[in-house]
Amino acid sequence: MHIIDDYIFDPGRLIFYRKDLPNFVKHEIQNTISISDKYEKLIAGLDKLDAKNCSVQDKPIDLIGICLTYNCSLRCNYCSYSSSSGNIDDLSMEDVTSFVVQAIKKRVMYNIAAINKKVEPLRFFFTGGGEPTHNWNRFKEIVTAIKDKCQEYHIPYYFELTTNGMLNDNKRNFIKSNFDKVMISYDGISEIQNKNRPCANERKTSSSIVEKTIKAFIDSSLEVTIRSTVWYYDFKRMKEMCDNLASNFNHFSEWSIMPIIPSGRALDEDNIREGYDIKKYSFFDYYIGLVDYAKMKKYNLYISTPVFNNTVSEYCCGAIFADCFWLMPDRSIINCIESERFRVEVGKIENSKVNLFSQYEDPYIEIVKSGFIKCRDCLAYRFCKGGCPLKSIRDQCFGTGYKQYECSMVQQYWTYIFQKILNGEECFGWRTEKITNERLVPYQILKLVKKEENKNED
Amino acid sequence: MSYEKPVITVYDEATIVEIEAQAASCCRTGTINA
Repeated sequence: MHIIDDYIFDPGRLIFYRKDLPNFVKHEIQNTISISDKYEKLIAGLDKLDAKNCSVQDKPIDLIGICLTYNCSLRCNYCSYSSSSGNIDDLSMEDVTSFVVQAIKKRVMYNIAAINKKVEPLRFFFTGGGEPTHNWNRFKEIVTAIKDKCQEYHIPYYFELTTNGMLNDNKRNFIKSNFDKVMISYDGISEIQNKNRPCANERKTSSSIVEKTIKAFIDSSLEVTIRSTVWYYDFKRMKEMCDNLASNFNHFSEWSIMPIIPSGRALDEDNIREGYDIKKYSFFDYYIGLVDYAKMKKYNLYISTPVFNNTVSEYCCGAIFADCFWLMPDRSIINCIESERFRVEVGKIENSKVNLFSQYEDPYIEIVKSGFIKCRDCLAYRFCKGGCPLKSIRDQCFGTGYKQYECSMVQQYWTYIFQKILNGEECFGWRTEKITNERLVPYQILKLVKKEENKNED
Repeated sequence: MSYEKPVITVYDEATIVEIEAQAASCCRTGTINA
């Protein structure tokens, strides 16, 4: 139980009640309101996994991630993959299609046998590593081949792309016609974009081309997210970025803001090595200030950040269950695209044949289990579940203290939301609703509810 | 000497499917510098 002003937050039931409630009412709550946290069931799900002896299950998957290359035309000063030029890309069209056909066949077989058939589209996610469109002809050939295969087997599909936006009109048109959703990296203001995201050719700058790409994409049926990756010393300029985006780009779906984490080229920065100081550079404070500012200015902007998972969550990590796969440029198959140098290989494409391992080790399982149990008393537990295990691994390696920095901010985030909604306001889609149970109606017992997210509404 | 009898939880197929579905929905992307 956690005290928020005059209320007690019951995380198992996701309810709030006044601190001074008589004991018989507290008993009535325990007897009549069921616990929504399926802790025992979920820990059993984790206990099934053996870190030393994992195997890829023969089950249909919903997402295929494709990382075609580590090459890129930009040299972003924080790139987690430190992408550059001259890396060897071995993943061929035959490799990708052999994996896709296997996934499609598995889905078809499953749908023949299952009562609950999979009707949702199979998702294909092109991302980095490097820039997916870097070798344009191969990118185009692979996208087209996957579509052909899906159509041949009558499988609905959904295509997503993360891109640096360094595209010409022909490329933009191909993406507009073949993709459903695009995340395009742009650091909010031309000046910061050019400073953070310089071209490999130092005489060129990236901002004008990327800005043109954003405009082309938002004028199409694509769902467009603009991703800004922000150095701690630029947190104070996020309102300026907001003004720029709101005035130059109309009606894109989402502005996603990522404070720089200690990985890849960002580790070259001395200040990152010195560790994070929440008092000096609290991303949370700047983020809240920014959201309030955008609201005050009545900007039609949906702002988000991956730092704060704004949903009730069952597990902090799906990768340990090997439910989605990422094909990598060296033909290996991994379970998490974010893992960069700390990746876990779960398979390999060999001679255009898919080999999913029947035995591999996954060190993340123990970290996830440990957080799942250890963090249970935290206010933010139902939403965080111990947090991404990669953050712990990076901290162990680089000693930057990022995990603790993020952890403190996540707690601040939920405390902030709870205080707001207990004050009768709506906050990040959350609000309270009075419990209608007849015997509890006379008392102020409130449940935590979230409205369906409508990205264009905010 | 006394000891606690261990509790063994056995879940049916439907529950396991449910647990796996929850796990699959937890895969987040876009959490690195890109």
